[in-house]
Formats: sequence, C-alpha cells, structure tokens
Amino acid sequence: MRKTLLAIENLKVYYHTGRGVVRAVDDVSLAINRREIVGLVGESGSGKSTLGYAIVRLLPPQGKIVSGKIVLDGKNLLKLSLSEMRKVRGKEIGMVFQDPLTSLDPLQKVGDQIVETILEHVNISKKEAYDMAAKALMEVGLPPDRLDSYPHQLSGGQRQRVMIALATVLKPKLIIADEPTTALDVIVQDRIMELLASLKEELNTSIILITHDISLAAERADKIAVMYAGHLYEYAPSDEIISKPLHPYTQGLIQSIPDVFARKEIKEIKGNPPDLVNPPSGCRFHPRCPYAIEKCMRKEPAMIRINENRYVKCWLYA
Amino acid sequence: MAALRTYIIVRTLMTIPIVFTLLTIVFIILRVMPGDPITAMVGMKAPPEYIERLKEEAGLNKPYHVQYVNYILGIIRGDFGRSLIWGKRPVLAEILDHLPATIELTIFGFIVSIIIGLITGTVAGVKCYTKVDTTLRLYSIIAYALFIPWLGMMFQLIFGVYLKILPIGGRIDPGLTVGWNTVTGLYVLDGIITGRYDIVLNALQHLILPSLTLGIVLSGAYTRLVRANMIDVLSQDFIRAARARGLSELKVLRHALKNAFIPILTMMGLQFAILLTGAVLTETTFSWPGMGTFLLERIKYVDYTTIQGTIVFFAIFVSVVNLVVDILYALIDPRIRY
Repeated sequence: MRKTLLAIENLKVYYHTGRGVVRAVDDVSLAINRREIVGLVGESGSGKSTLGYAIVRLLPPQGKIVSGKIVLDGKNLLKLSLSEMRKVRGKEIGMVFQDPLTSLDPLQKVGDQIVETILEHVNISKKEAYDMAAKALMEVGLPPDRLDSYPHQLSGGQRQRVMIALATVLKPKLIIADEPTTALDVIVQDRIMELLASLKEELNTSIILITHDISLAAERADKIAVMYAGHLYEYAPSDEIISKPLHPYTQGLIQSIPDVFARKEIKEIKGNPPDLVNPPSGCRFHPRCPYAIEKCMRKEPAMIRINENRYVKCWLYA
Repeated sequence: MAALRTYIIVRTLMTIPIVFTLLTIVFIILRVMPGDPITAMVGMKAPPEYIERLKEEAGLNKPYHVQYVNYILGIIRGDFGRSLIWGKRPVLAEILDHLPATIELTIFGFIVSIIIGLITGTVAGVKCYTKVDTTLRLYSIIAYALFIPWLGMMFQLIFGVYLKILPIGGRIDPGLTVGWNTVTGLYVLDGIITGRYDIVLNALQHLILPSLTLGIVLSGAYTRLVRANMIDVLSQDFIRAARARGLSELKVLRHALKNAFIPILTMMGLQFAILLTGAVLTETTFSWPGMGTFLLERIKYVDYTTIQGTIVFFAIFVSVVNLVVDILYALIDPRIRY
C-alpha cells in the first residue's frame, strides 16, 4: 500500500469570468498521506475551496481545470469519465460542507438522503441500506430515530452530524471538509471537530480540512498547507508551522490569531489580497511582505524543500 | 403525520370565513353598482308594473338586510337563485349544465401546458445561457403573446380545413350522444365508464385543438417560471452536495425539480381557478359549450341573478382550489406543516 493517498501535481484551475481569467489555483502540488489530517488554510479567495472542489471535479461551470494531475490511490481523477467520477464521489471521497442547512435537501427526510447515497453506490436492499444509515447516525452520535427527521427539525450541530454521516457512511478514503464548523457556535464546533478526528481513526481515512482559521487547523491537523492568492506557500507539520513559521505570510497569519489570555496586540497583515485576474509579478505576496527584496518582484519563487516534511515557497530560504 | 392532519383540518376550517367574506363582498358590489338590473334588462320602456313584478320575483324589492340573509341562507341550502330569462331555471342547474365542458377543456389544456412548460422550463434551466435556452425563452415569449383566437383559427385552418383530420368545433358529434346518459358530464370519463369507446375517441378528437390552443398559450408562462426556479434551485448548496455524494444527474434533477415545484404549484392553483371561470376566448373560438360561452351570453342579456350566482359559485370554487393547493404544499414541503 502506498503511503501517499492523494497527490496533486501542478494543478491549475482557472475561472473564466467576464473580467478575464481568474487564476484561482495556480500550479499547486500537494501530497497527502493516509490517515492524515491536512489543514488547507488561507483567506477568502486564496483558492483553498477551489482546490477542494477541483479534487471531486465539482467546480462551478465557469471554473476549468487547466492542467495538472490529481491522483487518488494511484488513479488520476482528471482522466476519469463522468460516470467513473460519480463512483468516486461519495464512495471514495466524502464531502462535508460549510452550511449543513442548505446542504441537505429540505424536502427529504435525512434517512432517505443517506439511503439514497448508499443505494447509488452499493448493491444492497433498501432494508439493509436503512440499517446502514441508522448505524451511520449512531456513529456520529445521533439516535437512529433521527432518520425520520427533516433537516429543519434538527439543530445546526445535528445537521452537521448528518452531513458527516452522509460523507462517511461508505467509508471513504478521503474526506474533504469545507469550513465544516464555520456556521456553528464555538462549543458545537469543538464537538464536530472531535467527531471528525475520531472518525478518521475509526475509518482510517485522510481528511482535508479547508478553513480560514489557522488555530483550528493547528489544533486538529497533522499538517498545514497555507495558500495565498492561488499559490501554495508553505506546507509543514502543524506543530512546526505554529512554533516556527517560515513564510512571512504564515508568520503574519499566526500573529493575527487573537489570544484571550495573553492580551497581546493582534498584528494584522497590511494590505489586501491581490486581484487574481491580474496578479502581482513574481511572488504574489510581495506587495504585502515586510521582507520583500527586489528579486521577489521579478521572479516567482520555487517550492523549496527544507526537510522531508517541510516546504516553503519563498526567496528568503533559497 | 399528526401535524399534517391538524394542518389540513385548520386550513379547511379557515376556508369558511374566507368564503363568507367573499360572499359578502359580492353582495355589496352588486348592490352599490349604479342602475337597477331589472330595468337594465327589460329596458326603460317596459311597464312599471312588469318591472315591479320581476323585482319581486328576484327578491330585489326587499330591504338590503333581508336580501342579505335570504342570499346567505339560499347559498347554504345550495340555492343560487333563478335565472331571470327564458325558462327561469335555477342558476345552479344552469351552471352544472355548462361546467363539465369547461372542466374537461381546462383539464386537458392544463395538462398540455404543464407538460410543455415543465419540459421546456427544465431544459432551459439546466442549459441556461446556451442557445437551447435562448430558443426556449423565445418560445415562451411568443407563446405567451399569442392571441388565442388567432392560434385557434390557425389550427382550425390547418388541421380542420386543409388536412381535414380534426373537427374544428364543438365537444362531440351530435349523433353519438343520442340515447346516451352521461354520468359526470365529462365525456371522456363517461365514455370510459359506460364502455362507449367510440365516444371517448370522438370526444378526444374534439379536445385536441382547443386544449392545444389553450395549453400552448399558457405554457409560455410556465416555461419562464420553471426555468427561473430551476436556475435558482440548481445553484443551491444541496444540489452540489447531492452531486458530491455521487448521485446521478437524473437523481440530482429530481431533487431540484421537487424543490422548484412549490412556486410553480402556486401558479398552477391560480391558473386552474381562473381557467375554470371559462377560458372565454378558447371556448368561443371552438364553439365550446362551457362556462365562458354561457357567461358571455348571460352578460349580454343582463341576466342579473345568473351572473351573481355564477360569481358566487366561482368564489367558492376558487377558495376550494386554494385549499387544495395549500394542502398539496404541506404534502410536498414538510416545513409548512405545523
């Protein structure tokens, strides 16, 4: 069995808009190992969600995967036909979305939505599928009689549990969780993350945790990948990235985490993310970077390998 | 399910004050209208005693509050008054004579419009901003703007006069119904019940052109409505989530259609009610002996009680259709039950 579960190689995803081509994901390479939680961190518009949706090939119509490879367990997902891709979605890759209320069909009982998903992928009887769905609900900490509930009858946390049950019922190899706790209150957030982490252990899956909250990623993820303006700028184990961030952008992100107890001053990163129709030359972070040198304006830095697990895309380390 | 039952009972009870209010409004409007209906009917030159006699027959010489009580009591008993002209038959009997023809035409026209509207609207919504979508939108505007008598006449000309394959008017060939007793008044249904398949076939042939005419013109609005709702629903999170679960496009579309259907149901309810009051233009174009033709004729003769009775009848009818639509909502959308 390969150690690497998912390998993204030189992926480019562009949106063709009326204003021009938006390079939302530009030449990103990333490898995710089995049983690993990888936090994909970045601000809005950094391309983190686009990357997540590109993996399951569910980009909005104007989004196109221009080049690159997405290899799941030795299989290039970009080479699959649509019907082959459908077999991957839900079965091999489960997805959890930000807003569980709008991500469930409001007119269908949650049990029927789970059963529908099971029957799409596995050839078993309806009765067996219902048993499976009930078990999946128990796994996520909901009583099986919730199968008969409609989404609006559940609380936000319960709905997200249903979403997780939907994503995990077929024991996928990979779960992509797009801001899974952003729509929830803090206490529920923690429980949901706890649940995801325990399911990972149980099902031996890997998780891509897409979030704008680097502290959440630091707490739960094994590794953190920092994205900015469509580029991947740093990829490293969570503890290392928190204790010793290399890239100036990562440093800025960590300094901007508020701390209730330390009452330290929050340092913000000055400026705004660039317009991706017309990104800055060279390193896309250079206009906001306190350490920018002349070279940063001219030439895009390469991904530099610091050690086996650490990568950073910055001239300061070349 | 208990919640659903409660909802249906409460909603049904709510219909009573609605109908009552409607009846009162109809009563007031007909009384505050200027002029005296009897004089309007028989003309200024009629002898005053004659006018008085007619007023007495219609109960119009009594004080308003007495008229009102009689009117409400009558309706509760199912008495909608008597026609002022010809045989002076009960208005309800006259309505029931003409209603089945309209219901039959409405149902078929409705089916045509829903089928065309749902298919074109769904396709346009799924393929939005493509050439297919533009073509279908163009269709919807043209269909919506078509003048019913013109389209009807074109159909009559092509299929009736040139091709000679379909009848151009009427509900049925007169000879066929001799000695045949209808059950519901809906010829297609009655033909099936009584086993007279020649009548079923003949009635269907007569129905094709009018229901196509009505259905095509109505379908334009559905195309637009279904398209807009489909585009809206298809952009929602749960559609993307359904795809992320690996559901086939057909199943995804089923989720979308079910969600897009609620506002469409509203329009269907409204339109069905309006259609029943007589698709006047279609009926007159195809000499269809339904409510539209009937009402038009009675308005011409100022048959005051018949007009009032018909308005009342349809006020009740529309309330009932709305009741049915609301119950259908609750069946489709669990969020509406309380």
